[in-house]
Amino acid sequence: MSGEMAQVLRVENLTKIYPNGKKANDGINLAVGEKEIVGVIGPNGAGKTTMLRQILGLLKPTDGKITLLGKDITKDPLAVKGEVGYEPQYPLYYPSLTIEEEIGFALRFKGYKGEGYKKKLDAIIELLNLGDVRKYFGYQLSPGLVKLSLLAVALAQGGQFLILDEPTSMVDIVTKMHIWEIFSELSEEQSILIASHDMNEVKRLCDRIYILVDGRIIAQGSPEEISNMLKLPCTMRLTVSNIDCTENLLEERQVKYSLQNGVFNLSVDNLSSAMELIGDINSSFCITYIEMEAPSFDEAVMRLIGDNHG
Amino acid sequence: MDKIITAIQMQFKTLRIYLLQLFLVVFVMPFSYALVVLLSSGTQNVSVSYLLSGYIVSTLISTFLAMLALSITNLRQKEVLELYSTYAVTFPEVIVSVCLTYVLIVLPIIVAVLPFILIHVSSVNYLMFFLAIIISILFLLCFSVYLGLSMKNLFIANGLLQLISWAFILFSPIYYSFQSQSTVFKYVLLINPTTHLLNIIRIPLGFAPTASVWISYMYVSLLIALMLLYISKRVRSTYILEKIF
Repeated sequence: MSGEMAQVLRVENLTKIYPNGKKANDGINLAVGEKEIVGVIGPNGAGKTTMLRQILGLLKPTDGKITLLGKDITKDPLAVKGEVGYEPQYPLYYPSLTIEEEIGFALRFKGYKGEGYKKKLDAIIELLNLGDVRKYFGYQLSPGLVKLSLLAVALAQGGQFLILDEPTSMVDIVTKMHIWEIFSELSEEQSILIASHDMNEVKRLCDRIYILVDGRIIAQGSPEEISNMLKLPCTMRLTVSNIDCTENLLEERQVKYSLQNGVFNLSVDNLSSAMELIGDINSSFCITYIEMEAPSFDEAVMRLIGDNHG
Repeated sequence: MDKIITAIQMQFKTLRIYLLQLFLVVFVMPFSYALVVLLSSGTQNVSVSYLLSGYIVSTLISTFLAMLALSITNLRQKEVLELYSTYAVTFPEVIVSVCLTYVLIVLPIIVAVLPFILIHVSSVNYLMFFLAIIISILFLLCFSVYLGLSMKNLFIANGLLQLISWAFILFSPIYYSFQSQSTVFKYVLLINPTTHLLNIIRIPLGFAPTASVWISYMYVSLLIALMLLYISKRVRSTYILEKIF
């Protein structure tokens, strides 16, 4: 994050030790700037949700300081209550409230009334395509719909900052893509902190990413910076017009590959070697399909986590 | 205040699926006790105002101790706390709204019963009678919130609160005479705050005191003060998710 960007959230040396002695967060430093989407990824039990709950004032930090929207949350956890939208990780719901009522109460607690209330309610329901199920009760919803209704409440809560704990888990792929578009649009006005297991999600949405393992931040940076942290091979998947001749070329060049149902999976040492190889294959045997990641973000994250986990 | 009103409306909506349970706890159970007394004694031997004043206290105990206290325990479950954290409402505001919701639920029953009590007594000290009703509501609200905040396990609370509610009704002269009990049992009854609530309600209706009215007021007031201290301390702490996630 650039030095000039105003910080919406600043977490300094955050440590959380539970009463049984388990250290869930260990000296975490993290910042979210204005109109920035920041992601936190890590394996189960890494301490992501613990960190978010301390930021929300639901858990008391053992040590460290949290400054949210200019207020010290460690001294006054309720200082910004109502200014932060939050979507919990678990599909929690009020069994006897309809989706419409659940979102409606979020708006009413924020002070919406009359025509303004109705317009805002309809806008959120339309934004998340919940019109057909707006009268459904909590107990009638699938986990995916429950997560969507929680997201709707977070959006209704609005404010300058959104904290989203695995926001698209349990939702279908079409809805997921739609939600990603919404997040991108929201980031023009709001700051967002996302905890996620979905590497595609953080790679696609986040300006910066923190990797959290065993309660510690082990790496941070943009998706590109994280991809380049380790010297990783380039991976490619491609199909060609002449399989046999391509195989001969790859063997001649001593390139590691596998062939499955006519699809080559290749791995080369670096990006320039990959580009040269692609040029040679394409000029002789015509590439009909290609998919390439160089270097692979997913692999970089997996390696970083693997090297630092337990 | 707007947030409290909104939270009360929300509580009423969330109670929709518990309507039958609410009907049983608020009306059927207390009424059935009174009915049993009437059927076993015959109407001529029972004072209607004695029975109905007991019925009011019984309804309050049944509703507040069995349902309100359970709602408070439920509020402290991590899933529920987290769900409420998605709204711009604080934990103390939710507690107050839940209490007011249950007061609004029992109020129509009290209002409906009051005329029957008043027409069956020769003289009434209205000021002391209504003060006693208000003190009784306040005491049982505090006691329910105290119990609800003290219990962590919802499943244990579900059984234990029913048991406490039953003990409060059984070991107090709600539906039987205090004077006709043995001396030892009278002492047992006097430990129960319900006996003192009944005392301050029935004295203004002209019934014989079970203890000095001022002792009853002091006992109940002292307990209210202690419980309010505990409640204010517990409610102020918003750090309530000290479990491992």
